[in-house]
Amino acid sequence: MKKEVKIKFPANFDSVLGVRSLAQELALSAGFSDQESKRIYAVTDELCNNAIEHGSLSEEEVKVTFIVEKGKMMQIICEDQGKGEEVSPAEQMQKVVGKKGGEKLSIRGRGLAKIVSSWVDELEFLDNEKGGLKVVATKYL
Amino acid sequence: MTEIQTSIETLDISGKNAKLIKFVGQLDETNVDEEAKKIYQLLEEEKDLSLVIDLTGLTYMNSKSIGYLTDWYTKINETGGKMVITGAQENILDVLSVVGLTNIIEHFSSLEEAKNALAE
Repeated sequence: MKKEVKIKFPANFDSVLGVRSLAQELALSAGFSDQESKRIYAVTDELCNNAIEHGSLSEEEVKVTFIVEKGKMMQIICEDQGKGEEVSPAEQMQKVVGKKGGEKLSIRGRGLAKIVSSWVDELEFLDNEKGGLKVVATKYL
Repeated sequence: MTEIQTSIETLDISGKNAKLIKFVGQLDETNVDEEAKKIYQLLEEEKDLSLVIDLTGLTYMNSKSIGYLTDWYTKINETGGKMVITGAQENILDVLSVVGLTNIIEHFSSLEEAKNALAE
């Protein structure tokens, strides 16, 4: 049975600590190991930071949905409103993640390309109809 | 702002201008830029500097802080100094490993080993 937890928070970095802590707790409850839950903590942080920095104006909302199926999987869905500086549509984000090691990456690119893509099993970028980016990261047990 | 304490102290290593940087807490988007300024200031003020970065008390570091670590390492190397890290917890080593930094920056389990590496 899947459990869904939805959070909306203002697009400022102070909000992210609580969100990533929740992610870690949910991961542990789903049956992930201590190491995996800490990786999910980091993945959530990177996704939220990207949504805030590149997808949202100050105090707009970022939406995060956690879908947890105990013993099976956890999904982190992070959505921004696409009005921030350096808005990156889905196709562009896919290219950032697709860069091979050794190619010069921005610090933000490093977070998504290396950390997130290495630590999840599936990573999908989608353009929201109303503007903004939706990132879906899935990790299986 | 997420809690972080950064301390800088002088290391007694013969013939070396060496400092010990300790981070205790978490380095994330709320605090990393401010903390990084302290290290950049140190790099500007000190000549031929070598650093031991003590991560024993660090429970999380994000990609931006890893970027800063890489930059400090590059700058220290360019001026003939040496930078090593010590005491990293499992999850910190995990993230440093996934970005490939453990292939570049030496890590030691103890401060003593790190100091010996600087003394070489």
